[in-house]
Amino acid sequence: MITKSKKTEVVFTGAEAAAMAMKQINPGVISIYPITPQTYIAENISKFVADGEMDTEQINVESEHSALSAVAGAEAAGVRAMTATSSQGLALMWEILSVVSGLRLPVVMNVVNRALSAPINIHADHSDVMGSRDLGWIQIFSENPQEVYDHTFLALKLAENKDILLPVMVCQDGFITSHCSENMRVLPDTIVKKFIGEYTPTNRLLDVNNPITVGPLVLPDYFLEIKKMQSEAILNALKIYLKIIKELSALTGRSYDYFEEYKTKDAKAVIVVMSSSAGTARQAVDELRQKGLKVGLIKIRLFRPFPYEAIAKILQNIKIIGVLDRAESLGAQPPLSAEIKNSLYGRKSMPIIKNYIYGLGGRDLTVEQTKDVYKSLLEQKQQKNSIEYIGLNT
Amino acid sequence: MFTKTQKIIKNIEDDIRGMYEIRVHGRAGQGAKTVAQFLAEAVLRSGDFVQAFPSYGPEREGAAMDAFIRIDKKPIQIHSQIYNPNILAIIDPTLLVEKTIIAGVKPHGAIIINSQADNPLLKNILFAGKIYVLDASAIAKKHLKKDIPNLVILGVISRIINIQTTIIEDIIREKFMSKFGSEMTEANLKAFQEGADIAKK
Repeated sequence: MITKSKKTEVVFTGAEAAAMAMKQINPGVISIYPITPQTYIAENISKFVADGEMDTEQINVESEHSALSAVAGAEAAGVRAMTATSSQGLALMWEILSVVSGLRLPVVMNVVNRALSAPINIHADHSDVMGSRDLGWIQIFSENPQEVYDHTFLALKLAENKDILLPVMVCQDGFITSHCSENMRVLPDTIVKKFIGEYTPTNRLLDVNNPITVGPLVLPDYFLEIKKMQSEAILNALKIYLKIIKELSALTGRSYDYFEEYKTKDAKAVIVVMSSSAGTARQAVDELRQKGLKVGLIKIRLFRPFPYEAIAKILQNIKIIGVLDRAESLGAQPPLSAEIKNSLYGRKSMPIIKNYIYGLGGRDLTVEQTKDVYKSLLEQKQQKNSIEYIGLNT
Repeated sequence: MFTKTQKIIKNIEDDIRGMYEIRVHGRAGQGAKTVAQFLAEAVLRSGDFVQAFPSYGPEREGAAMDAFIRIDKKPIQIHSQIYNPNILAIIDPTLLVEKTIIAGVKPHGAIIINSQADNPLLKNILFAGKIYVLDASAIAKKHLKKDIPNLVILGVISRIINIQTTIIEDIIREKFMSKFGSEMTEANLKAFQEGADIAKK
């Protein structure tokens, strides 16, 4: 069913979209540490709680480290708990990120991606989230406020699935998405409630009939086995994801595949990119296609677990690929580029893959720059294995 | 509603994307973001697609900042700043010190400047299209007793893009009534309407 009623169409920023989704989920606990670099998400939630539009218990904590700790405690006790963060805030949560995933707590956290200091910068950048990519969280990237909203529900269903039970980050670009108002549709509360369902926690502290220990010491005799179970859980998410997005698509009429494939079928050159820049790149594809250039786009939505097989199926038939990363892995291959290369290792045909770093610290990426990347890919100008920096002033 | 905007788009040959773009320069605290947000809400109510976002330098009052608005008949997918606006609005006259501020405005577009007519910095503006110079600060002070000229500028923009002023007036009422009371809401409406009237002339 696609809701066409005018009332459901709004202009929301990415931050407002995240807050609206959280309001409709109405979790038991939300913890907030409202300081720069925070976003309107916390501000909106506070207002909803103060106005009585949510009956969530809002806990104001003394740091982002505590924000995630409070959420971990609440989830371990047995209620839905959420928070939101960004940049330095995510960095300060580091210690607790792996605690939450290791304890298999199904926390959903909206993350507004911004640069890490130093130098101080508050703008869009994936360095914050990329640093956390190996800490056991499922990671979903959003192009616009609509996706932030939809992905938050998708994240909750994934996190709480009994065969997954892992935390999920829903990512959006700082300012470009978090502060940008766009048309989007909201679902009626009743539909959201039905989709996410009642929360029935498993193995929780406050279940006095089944007493358990949460977070005990595990010595070398069992640690490896527990980590293997965690690994199986996040891989389970790949299969279960497909089932959940089918249900969500039926409600919204929008698609949520692991990645969006745009005009790749006959494409000679394809760009792989995530988040807001995917829209800019799609525009570049449209404009170049009008001129007869065969170019396409892959927008990665699910970054952890990474859908290697599905990606390889598409990309192994492409002649030349440009991977655009909004983060560096200093001294190594950029994060997204490394995954694309991993997915193609050992396949029958091996495309040429070129690395681009763009947009660090909020540096703008224009349609024209993206078109230039496509043109240079088609001309195969760039040397293999080098990293090109888009818009770098030298 | 936006039919006339569409005509403006058609008049601009170099607008390959067929979308209408507005860039607002101001200083943090002058309400450039409010201009963008009210326009976004108005476009939504007119049934079209919109994108409105600010770009800050250091996030503090008085620092130069920009606000961007895109309007289109179809969903907007570009997520970059605006380099070739159809309308450029400058809320703070001291920003004219930077001569490049008007760079990229479409030749058939319009520039709106809040300034006294005898401002020597106006000589920096070399532009073939339509230029509106108005003392929006004086108009704001007259109605609001404060130098917050954003709604006067919003009035001018609304007329140029031919959005129904009643839609924006409704939005001003909805957003301001509970926050500032009826007296300030009326004053803001007058500031907006005077801006709109100037553009009509």
